Amino acid sequence: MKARDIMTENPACITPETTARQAARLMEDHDVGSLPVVESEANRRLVGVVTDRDLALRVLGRGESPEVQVREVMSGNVHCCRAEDSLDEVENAMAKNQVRRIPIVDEKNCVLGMVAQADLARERKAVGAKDLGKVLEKISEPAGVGR
Amino acid sequence: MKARDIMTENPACIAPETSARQAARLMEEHDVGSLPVVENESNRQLVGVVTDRDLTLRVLGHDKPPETPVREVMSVNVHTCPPDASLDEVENTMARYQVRRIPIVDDDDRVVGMVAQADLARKLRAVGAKDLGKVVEKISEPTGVFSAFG
Repeated sequence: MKARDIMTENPACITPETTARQAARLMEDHDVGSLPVVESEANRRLVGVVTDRDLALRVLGRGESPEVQVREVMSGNVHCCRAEDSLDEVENAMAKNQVRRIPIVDEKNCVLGMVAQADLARERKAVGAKDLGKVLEKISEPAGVGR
Repeated sequence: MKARDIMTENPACIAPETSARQAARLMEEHDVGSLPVVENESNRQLVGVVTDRDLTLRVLGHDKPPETPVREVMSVNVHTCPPDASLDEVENTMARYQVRRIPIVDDDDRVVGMVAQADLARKLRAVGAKDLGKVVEKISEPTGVFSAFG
């Protein structure tokens, strides 16, 4: 079982020029808590990730305009996985970086999919993993906006 | 083991008049993703809950100003547990309503604590719960902003 087997393919992406408000609307439309930010629609090269929490804290909390571009509030240091990574690797990446969604990229860093904590938990339940509690605890620790 | 044994006591609370911006700042300061909304500081009577996601979707995404009082964007149908609830009850409440933090209230509906998914996970791991995967999956399902509190 690999990341590609459980990922959501062709996930909604935004570009660095997308406004905070547009990003918030897309999160509601697609029912997700984070969006990968790509260089352009055409190349889908990953340059960052923005979460609902980033928008609340860095835009609303810091008095930024809703028109601010996501490039100014996204996390640029994104932890991602490859389509051929094992579920263990994906799980470890989530735990280590305390994120609930992780972008899956190809060798050119282009976004192929997203794996959510729920995708992984569903799969783990099916196979009855023993270390899930440990991973969950790590992912669920309170994390600052800069994570 | 009861909710009172793992809860964070006297958690940060906000009033219905607190602005969305202030709420966002408090979430950053206290490193939490949701805040209980209480009638006032002195009675701490629970009237709602607001999450970072509520602020982003309902304020930023819906063109409301940062000064919007949280009463306009909070979820009022809040699921709570009493301090003497078992961890199973807390776990089931989180799973059923797909929330990661549960306010713990006394008989008069006053906020006495919060239990986060992480508190529970830490505890359940220690006792080796077998159904944790099921709970995680339930809590972790994608949810709309209005479904978060039922």
